[in-house]
Amino acid sequence: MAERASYDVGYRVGVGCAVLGAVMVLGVMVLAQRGLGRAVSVPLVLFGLAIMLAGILAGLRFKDLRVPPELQASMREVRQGQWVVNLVLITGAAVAVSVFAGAQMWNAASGEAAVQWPVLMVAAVFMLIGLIELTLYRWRPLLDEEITRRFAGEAKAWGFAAAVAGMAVSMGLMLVDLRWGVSSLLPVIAGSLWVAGLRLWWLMRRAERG
Amino acid sequence: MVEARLVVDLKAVRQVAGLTQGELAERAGVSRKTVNTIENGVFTPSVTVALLLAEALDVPLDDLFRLVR
Repeated sequence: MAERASYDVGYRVGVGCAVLGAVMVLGVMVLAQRGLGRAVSVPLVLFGLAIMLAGILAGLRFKDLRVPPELQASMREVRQGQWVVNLVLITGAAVAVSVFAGAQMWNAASGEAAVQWPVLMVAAVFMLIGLIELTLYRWRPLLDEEITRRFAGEAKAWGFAAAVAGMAVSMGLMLVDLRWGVSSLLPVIAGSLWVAGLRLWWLMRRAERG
Repeated sequence: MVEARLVVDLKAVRQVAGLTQGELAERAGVSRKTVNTIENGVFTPSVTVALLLAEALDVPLDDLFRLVR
């Protein structure tokens, strides 16, 4: 019974520590901006990064756990289906939130309002979760197989191409009007993740059809 | 170098064995998507997966995959 419950441990440990570390780093960065001394903030940032690294190493160590054979066939298809749908929804939500964040950045760049850190952080968290879903599937034995590695690789290549094209457009907009360039950066990054998620969903959907 | 093309006979061998894609996937420990994409020529598997499929069907590897020049 213990073995049944343990198949996703590496992923959970790794993601838990990575999110904890990221929240610490982001929190300290905000506090540092509000006057926390460098002597305090730098060690705390390093501590947060150490937690992230420890989580990643722990996740890789636990990767050896295997799914019991009697569970593989029934659970693999279900988990892979859930994975791609979650990825599309999370990255889609990241696009929606980053549009709000982009509007905030527009106001900040125009000097009309201060930067709204909570909105930016919500967007960053959605993007982080999307990135984790897209990259750390290899810690989850039910998701990690040759076909998903190939599809995820292709999806990441699409996302990267979208990011490069989007960044080029953003840089071009910056030359015309700095506000356009600054406010488009977050939606471009989130949109690239969404492109990768949609490509992965499409490839998996096509593979399911005979 | 002589051009070689990979021909996949997995579908025919599986049907002769009377197995569905899902049943073969379960025997080989892969997903049904893997079997489906190999049969359709979308995905060329590694030697490891190819051997798992041959083992699951109890046939030699070159019954499933062969090169045509």
